[in-house]
Amino acid sequence: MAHFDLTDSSAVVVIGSGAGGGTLSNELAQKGVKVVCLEAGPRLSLADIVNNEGTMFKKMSWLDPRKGTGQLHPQFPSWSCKTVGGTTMHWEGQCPRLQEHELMAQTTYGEVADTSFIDWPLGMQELSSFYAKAEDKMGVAGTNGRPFLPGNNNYKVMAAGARKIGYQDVDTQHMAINSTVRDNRPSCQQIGFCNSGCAIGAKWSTLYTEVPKAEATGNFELRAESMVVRIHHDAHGRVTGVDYYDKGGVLRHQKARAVCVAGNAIETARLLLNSHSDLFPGGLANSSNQVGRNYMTHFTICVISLMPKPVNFHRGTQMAGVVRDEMRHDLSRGFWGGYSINPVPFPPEFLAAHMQHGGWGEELTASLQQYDHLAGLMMMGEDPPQATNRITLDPEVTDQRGMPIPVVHYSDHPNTTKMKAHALRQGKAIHSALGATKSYEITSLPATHNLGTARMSERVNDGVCNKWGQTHDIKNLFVSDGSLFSTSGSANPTLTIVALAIRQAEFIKSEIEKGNI
Amino acid sequence: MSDSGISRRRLIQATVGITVLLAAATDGQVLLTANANANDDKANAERLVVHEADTLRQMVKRLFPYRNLSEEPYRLVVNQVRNEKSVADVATLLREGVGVLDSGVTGKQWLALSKAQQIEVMKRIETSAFFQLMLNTSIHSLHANREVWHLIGYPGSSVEYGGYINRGFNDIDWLPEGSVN
Repeated sequence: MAHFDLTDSSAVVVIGSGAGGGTLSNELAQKGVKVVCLEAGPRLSLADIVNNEGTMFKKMSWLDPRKGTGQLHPQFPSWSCKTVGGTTMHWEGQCPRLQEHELMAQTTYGEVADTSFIDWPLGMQELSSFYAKAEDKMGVAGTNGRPFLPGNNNYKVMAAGARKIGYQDVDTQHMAINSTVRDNRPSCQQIGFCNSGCAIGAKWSTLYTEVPKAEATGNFELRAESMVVRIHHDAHGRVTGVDYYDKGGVLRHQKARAVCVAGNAIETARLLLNSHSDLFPGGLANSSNQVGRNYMTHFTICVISLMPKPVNFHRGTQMAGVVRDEMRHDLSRGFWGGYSINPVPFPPEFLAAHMQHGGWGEELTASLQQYDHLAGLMMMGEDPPQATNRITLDPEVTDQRGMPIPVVHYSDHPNTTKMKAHALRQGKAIHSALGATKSYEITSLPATHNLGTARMSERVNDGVCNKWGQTHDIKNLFVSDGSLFSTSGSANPTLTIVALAIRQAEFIKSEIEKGNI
Repeated sequence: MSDSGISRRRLIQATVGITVLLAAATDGQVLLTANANANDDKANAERLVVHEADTLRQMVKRLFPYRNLSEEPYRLVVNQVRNEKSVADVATLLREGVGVLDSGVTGKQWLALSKAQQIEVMKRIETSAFFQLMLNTSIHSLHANREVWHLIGYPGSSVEYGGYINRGFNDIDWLPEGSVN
């Protein structure tokens, strides 16, 4: 691994080591660009990963204080990660591509009240080759000639019920989990616990793919437990470096050729806003007043059903599966945009708390007692951008470093309310078709997909970044995570984040060569 | 009930102190009498502690009445709730909570009520801090308990057994023929 001096301004500073930051770092390092990656969380190894949700939650989650308002949990508005690898440690590996019509949301959906839809500044034609590169990099099952993963029992229940009610587009999903031995990592052993970190490294995570590969180039230095609190700029408004608290809690300043922010949509917006100055009183790259706005998640709601015979839904890859039939845009359903249906299991402790929120007594216990008969589905769908759903800095409360904590405000758009009701109905119908005796709804999960808070836009007033993720205001300041999403689409975002990071690395390299940054 | 619990405990401490003074100052007869009172009060205090534990344990059973589960996981919930550090004075909260349960039906301790009456009284206090603490502790303690896991068919960690690749991840056999592929 390389080591860069704090006063060395030759390196690009990447903030965050997850899907966006980890990928971008490696792509740049492979091209000979020097990179310092500052990651707020600690660096785990595979030996730190155990099959226990509670233990891993504490090891990997972002637990610094945040405030949720609107319909969010007041202390835990979102579930993201604070660890090397970021949310690629927690994700389930699902890799759908965005659909062409979703990249043209404004054109497709037309005028919708109380939304701030725009079209993406790049279309499928520009994106598809990078999707292919991302799928190849991540070894996505079901792409590039790689076999799909086999379906587990919970998937089979979903697939059988879905077909029974007329759905047709059902398979085990494009998953960034090895279906065969690849890239010096084993194939999936159907362990379960995917979202607590894969203990054998079969699931793609930047912790053990992009990060060590970047280190092997000699162009890359990772500093874990290093929390960036401010980005600095010169009199011309070009960024010059960052302030961060290092492992020992000491405030350092690292000089930089360019800065790429990939802290996950909440922290990315928080950092840009907190880096306000005389020149940029509203925060960096915020002349449009769009930093922090248009915060989108995908709703995640679940149906847990008691099936007539054993399922054992805890066994195997947790979310290898999808029903795509409802992902289409079809106004005859009473809402625009679409949603996917996926298999999902939960451990007993989670179910006891959430299967019937606040519930207790004989009926709930009788269902829990038949844990082996439970089947689970998760539905997630497109979330429209709303200017009022946004990240701001708390005017009073600061964290342990004196940095204002983020306030996350979110409320469902009426379209989302309609889509959720439809999704719950369809989810229950899938299980009912196979004789489910009882279904529970879980509607209060914290979001894990955080999007849109520094979005890409064709027009400078509509967003924060251009189609390369370069901020409209500052040439050598980039955003490199889900914050970039112009709209959310209905698909899990990681594959798109990785595709955009690969694309951005090519752009940064060429801008360096042209002497522009 | 809860107030008298506090004063009884204070009374016991006071009585013990007086006993020592009396032993030094007066004859054996007084000492014996005082000691007998102290022993009675000590026994009463123990009865209260036992009553509280019995009531809390029964409450956990009403929250999550698993069939064929031993007493041990329920007993552990009570131990855990009594050691709860996130509540400023958990002992008082529990003592007063038991008092509220016992005053739910006039003239009868909650433990002596029928199952339906016990549940009825619990429903009345669902939003109280006492009830929520008992519910949350039961959710987390019981459902992270290996005995409960074993009973309901959840095995926990699988990586040390090689996952489920050869242990039935796809062994479901009751779905309609030809419905999966």
